[in-house]
Amino acid sequence: MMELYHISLEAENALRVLQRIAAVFSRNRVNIEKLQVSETECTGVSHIDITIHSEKEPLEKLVKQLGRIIELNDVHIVSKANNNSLTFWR
Amino acid sequence: MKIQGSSALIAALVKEGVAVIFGYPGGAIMPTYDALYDVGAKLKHVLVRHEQGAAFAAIGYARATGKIGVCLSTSGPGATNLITGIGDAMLDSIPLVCITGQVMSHLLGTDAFQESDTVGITVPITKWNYQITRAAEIPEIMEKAFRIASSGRPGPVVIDITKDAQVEYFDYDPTSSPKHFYAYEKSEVNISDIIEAADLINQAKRPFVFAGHGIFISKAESEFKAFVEKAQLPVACTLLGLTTFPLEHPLFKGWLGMHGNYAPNILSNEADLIIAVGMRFDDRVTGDLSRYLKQAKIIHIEIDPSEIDRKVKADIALNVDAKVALNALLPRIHEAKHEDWLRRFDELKAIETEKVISKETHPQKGKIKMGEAIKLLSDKTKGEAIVVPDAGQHQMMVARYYEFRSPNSHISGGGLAAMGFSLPASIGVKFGNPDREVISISGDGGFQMNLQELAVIAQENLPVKIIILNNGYLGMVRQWQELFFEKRYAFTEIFSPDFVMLAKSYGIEGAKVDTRENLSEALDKLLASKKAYLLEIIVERQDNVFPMIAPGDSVSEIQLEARQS
Repeated sequence: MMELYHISLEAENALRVLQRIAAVFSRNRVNIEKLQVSETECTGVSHIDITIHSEKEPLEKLVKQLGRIIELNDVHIVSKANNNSLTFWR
Repeated sequence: MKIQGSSALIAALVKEGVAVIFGYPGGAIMPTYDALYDVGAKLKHVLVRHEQGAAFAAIGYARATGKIGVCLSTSGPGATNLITGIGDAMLDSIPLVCITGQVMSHLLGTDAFQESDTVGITVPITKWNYQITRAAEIPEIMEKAFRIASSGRPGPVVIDITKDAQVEYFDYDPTSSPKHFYAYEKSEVNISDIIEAADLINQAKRPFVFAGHGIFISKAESEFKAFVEKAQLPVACTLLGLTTFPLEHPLFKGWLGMHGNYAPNILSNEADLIIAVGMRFDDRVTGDLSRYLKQAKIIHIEIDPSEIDRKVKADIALNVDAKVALNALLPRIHEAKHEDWLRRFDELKAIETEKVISKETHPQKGKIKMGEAIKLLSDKTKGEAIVVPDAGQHQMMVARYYEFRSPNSHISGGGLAAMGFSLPASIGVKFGNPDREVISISGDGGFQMNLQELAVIAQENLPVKIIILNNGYLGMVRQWQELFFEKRYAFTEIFSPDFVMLAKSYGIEGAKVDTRENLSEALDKLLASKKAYLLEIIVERQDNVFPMIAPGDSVSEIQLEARQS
């Protein structure tokens, strides 16, 4: 079932990180509905919020592929529908 | 000490123990080539004739030595020409560091002469990439590049370096160590998973082990052998896993996939337990996923978390290095026999031998067959050569009929399966293994994709042996046209130059053979040569590779011959 998911990522604040993240979504033909990148209090770390429509299983595969990105520190997914926290990773 | 960025770059390569790099100069990388001029014999540079050749040569070197392959190119066309090789390294998990020159940093984004967004272009096909714009970044970034390329699941790294960063002077401390090491190796196993996996293995009646490229990468060949011998587990290799386990071992039951062996494909869907070690369930291995391994429990040993459950759902995932997992499992598994189950493999092998193998390797009439030529080459070299096939029918024939007797001797481009791989890759393989016989085998189509690298073989006096199996067609595509496109042979018949004259023009000896009677002597002459030698073998024009799992079919539906339509 397609649901709205909210993914928050913590990544190195560096050039190309956003491109790498976006490439994982587009390669899996998942459109990003909403995107926000913000600085954090921690120098060199940025916080990225992404909202997508997806089913649960492809989303899990996609998140694992995000895990290949060297500059990524943390992934946290929340299903918008029931506000359940699905995965903590790293 | 103040030095230029280019000198620091070369110093970093020397520090990493790089002995040979493959490259091609151009404007934006000239300062680095200038620094290379001074380094002498510590770092050999091989001038290729096309940057794709540099990437494949570096891959061949990496595959055959287990070290990191390094290539060097200029910006723009130099960088874009590397792309196919980088794609190959990404899919086949090859540690590769590509250094590309880039325009001056103040020109970035201006569509400057020979500017291409190399880092942007290579994002989806690299494990990591980075653009250096200041010389002071070089020591740490190079260290990081080498760690990332080789750690965990290896892969290609691109370091793009602007021309001004190459010429800039900075304070260089040769004794300094980097601020942080990047480590991806997962060495800790979850012990409850190991116990559960060992229980599954101990209870299994029809266990079956898949051996992948990861066994080479983690250097776990001996641990793997001890593991399968203890519980008498039948083994089938993936294409890239071939030669991880001795082919002559009684537990070796063939290789998996579209043109693999009959028994392991059929019995994949009869096993009650699959133990997949360092492999990623490529679609050429699995056939139709909806009818694949549904009856079996699955233990998946794989270091890359993104490969777990990606195509085949694992009952137990051991997300660690293969060696670590096998060492943890070994004391916990029981000795076992599985005699009836092992016999099933041999029964099915007998069917394949009768219906396919004998006919392919010992034909009585007609033109020379590809399998026959490979089998004869295998016999004459006693299976001891390193064989570097290209992509296509002959590649499958090499995997099927060359009886490898040494580990890591089958250097085949698996995931990307790029035509034009063999000739440049064999150059890298030979630089890594100067004392072994290295044989490049191509079809007439693939050979023409990178034949310019003959010049490198000539210039470097490299005794690489080259075989072209010429059937006058792009054979694998023609086979599919015959089987699935009603014999509509759209643009697959291909003209070739006189390959022997071509070789001669590079000063390379060669010969052409087109009859069975003369094949043996022709191969003897190739193998006896102390220098590079090209042998063109004219083979049957419209041969097909069988067995075959047709696209969309299940592994259980593997065909020994073409279905009657």
